[in-house]
Amino acid sequence: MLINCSNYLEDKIDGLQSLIELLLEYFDDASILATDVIGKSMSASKYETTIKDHYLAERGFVARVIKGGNLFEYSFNHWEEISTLKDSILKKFKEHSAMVEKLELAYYDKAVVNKEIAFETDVREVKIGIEEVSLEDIILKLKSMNLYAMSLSNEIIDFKCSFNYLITSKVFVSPTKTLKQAYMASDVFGFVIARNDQNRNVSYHESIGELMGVEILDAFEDRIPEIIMATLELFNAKKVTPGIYDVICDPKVSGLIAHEAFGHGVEMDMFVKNRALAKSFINKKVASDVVTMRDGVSCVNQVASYLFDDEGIIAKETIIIADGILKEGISDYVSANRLGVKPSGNGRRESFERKVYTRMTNTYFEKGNDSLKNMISSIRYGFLLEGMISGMEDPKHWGIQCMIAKGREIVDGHFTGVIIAPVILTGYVPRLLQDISMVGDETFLQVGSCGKGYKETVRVSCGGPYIKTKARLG
Amino acid sequence: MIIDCLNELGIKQYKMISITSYSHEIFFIGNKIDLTREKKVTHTTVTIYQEHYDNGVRCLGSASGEIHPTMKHDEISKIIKDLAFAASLVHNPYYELVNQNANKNTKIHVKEIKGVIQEIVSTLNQIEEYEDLFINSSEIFVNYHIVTIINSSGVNYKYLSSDNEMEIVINAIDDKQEVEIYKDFRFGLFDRVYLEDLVYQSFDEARQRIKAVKTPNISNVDVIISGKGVVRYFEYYLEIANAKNIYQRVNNIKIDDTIFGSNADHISIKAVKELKYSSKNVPIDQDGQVVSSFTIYDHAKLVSYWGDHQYLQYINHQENRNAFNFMIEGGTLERDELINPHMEVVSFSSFHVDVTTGHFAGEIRLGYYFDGIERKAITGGSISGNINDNTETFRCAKEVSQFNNYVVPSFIVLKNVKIASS
Repeated sequence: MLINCSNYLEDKIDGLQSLIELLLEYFDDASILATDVIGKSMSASKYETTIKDHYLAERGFVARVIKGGNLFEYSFNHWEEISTLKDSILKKFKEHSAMVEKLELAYYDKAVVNKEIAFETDVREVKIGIEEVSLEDIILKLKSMNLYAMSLSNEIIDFKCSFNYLITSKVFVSPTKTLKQAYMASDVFGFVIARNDQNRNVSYHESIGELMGVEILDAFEDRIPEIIMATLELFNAKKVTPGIYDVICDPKVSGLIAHEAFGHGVEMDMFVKNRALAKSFINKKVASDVVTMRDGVSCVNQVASYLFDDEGIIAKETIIIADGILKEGISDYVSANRLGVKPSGNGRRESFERKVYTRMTNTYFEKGNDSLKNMISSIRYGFLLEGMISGMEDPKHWGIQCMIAKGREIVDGHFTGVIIAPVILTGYVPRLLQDISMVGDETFLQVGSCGKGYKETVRVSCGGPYIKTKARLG
Repeated sequence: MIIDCLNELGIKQYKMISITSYSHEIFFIGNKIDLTREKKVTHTTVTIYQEHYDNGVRCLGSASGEIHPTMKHDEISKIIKDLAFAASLVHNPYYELVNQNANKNTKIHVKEIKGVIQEIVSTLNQIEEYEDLFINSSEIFVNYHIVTIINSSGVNYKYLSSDNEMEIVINAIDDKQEVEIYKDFRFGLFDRVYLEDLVYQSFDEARQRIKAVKTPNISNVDVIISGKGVVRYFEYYLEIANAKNIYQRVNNIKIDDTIFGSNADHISIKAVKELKYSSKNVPIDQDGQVVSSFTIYDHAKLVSYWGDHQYLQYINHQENRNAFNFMIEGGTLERDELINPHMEVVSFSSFHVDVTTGHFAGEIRLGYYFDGIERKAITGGSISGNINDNTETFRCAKEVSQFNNYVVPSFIVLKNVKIASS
């Protein structure tokens, strides 16, 4: 089914173009991003069923205007006569300028007007659109998955299964651009809680997500038995003895490392603020020769794949690390101009209500030539790390924190059956990447959410192949 | 128009929450302006409830969705019909909507917003910076919200709330390196002295971090957590007493259960209606329950569950008990009693606490190691443990500190924690 740009936005394009024309009578540059994002989250557990809007569903506008060094944005979700909107934006701009003058503040620099010309439309297909399936069937499917999971062990307290979809339509209008795009992304999330007869709780979660339609539900159902097994084996998990170990990271953990290490580490708005150590390491070695890492919208069909970013820049693919050498960062339009580089199309907003920051899209290590079997055989004592819980970046000091669901002990190339959980992986990013000695022969990506610091959530994916390295575990 | 549509369609049970937000934002790089922003948006969420029977059992289904201000009558009508159908597919146990007398619908004007952001900027501008200790960048958000909550059982309430945020990055430099401290402060009431204190405390942390050495191999010492990590730790105890988690059997703590052993500090945990500086001071919750002050743990004994109206009814808790501000009382320890070797963590990269298992862990951004004689700043490595392994010996500070909507003991002392060096 083809996902077309929303009728609401299509109807507003002429008005937005007129508004830009009026704003240009006063400003050096003006642009507007309009969004219409429809989405629902539905879940079924043993205890309740829920149906509500997806937390990223929205409809609204953000106007960006530039005069001299003054870069100003106004976010709104009402619609008025074009001349009234123009007056409103102008009035607010003048009020802010007066405040800046009163406080005797200076602007960072003269903002650059984007002269790039582009008129493009991108619409994408999914196998089964949301309108092709009844809501009743989706709820029944979620309930049946809950019942199936619960039937697999009487130690399961609950299995909450949720299906979330977003149909995103965006229109970007500036003096030289009119861009339209529409796509549907879906994900399924399963969260298990189990309790044994010693009253010990364990929990585990799995999710899958892509630019897909309702067909994603079937893909998830097949994985339920392995999710339940992955949960129940946590009852026997031992505590980690802190130390440095040989480890193999599964694609979820390698993706988390890619994301936290040189995903956040090369967001170039942090270069502008001198908050990223990577700025002084371009064209220098930061990882072992077997490491190549990318971020991009076109290389994979994932939740962060789009035609243009939230500043109307046609997005591209960035090779961040090539054969262990840090090549380039990812950037939003304003930061790229300040640094004198070409923007990569990574300017993203949490919503039309928030500022643009440099953000990742789909970030991953490229595949290598090693098989998982050979990696396991090569370990004398170490762990296979599986499943991600959360992570935290530290671009200024190249620290990394990865919360990992479990580790599987390996002795002399064989699994011993011992599980450790939970695991915290910390360390110095270049050390961790320079210790990568083997890279698996297949890459998998995983859907996720990403914050910048403690806010600004956007949808991303990250992944990689299995990788072998050394890591400090706690 | 929405209420008209609901009536036209014969919807008997509903809730409507409308929030109009006014926001002013300024982003600085150093002391220069990167960007200024303003926002005016209205979000109206409608929840439709459908009562029905499932195999003779009385059920109440619900479904919610947003009605955008740009929607016309036909679109609103379609959304409401779709929500009513969706609600009929939801077979949750029956509960009553809030029907207490929450009625206050008066005109509210937002006047102060421009003044507040100017005050915050002016406060930041007057912070004394140095060549080797300065503000790298900051982001200021001043948000006012006019919130209207209406339901079909008589709730009709309008109030004004404010939540403000300041993200600030402090850098310190010496001849070898440059380090940063990242902070994200949330507060309701602006107070110049309160804000200055927060910034100067961050300056102190940056001064310490530049001197910090790598976390050495340490074992068998008490681990002290101070700063925001203490909030995360106590959130576990709040979550396990939350009605939703009790109903869904995530935890099975019962009224009169005690959370700490006989040798621990038997502190009390209270919900408070209002807390000075908190950004969570609201008169009613999203269901229309009036927010009040009450005790959750009395000297470590669980005396009341708390949470959303729906789940409180499911666990037969008769009283309305929802809360957004919490006060955890101080324990028995003074800082000068900490004379044995210990490690203190004041700042984590992210302090992770799992409410289902009690596991906690975090990378150390800034801490101190006291070997019995000397106290040294440390960084790197991590700590990990389980809250349930620390209940017997749990001790905490007599003195308390505030972090937005939480007042917590200034530090907690844990004995069963694993430390990974850096």
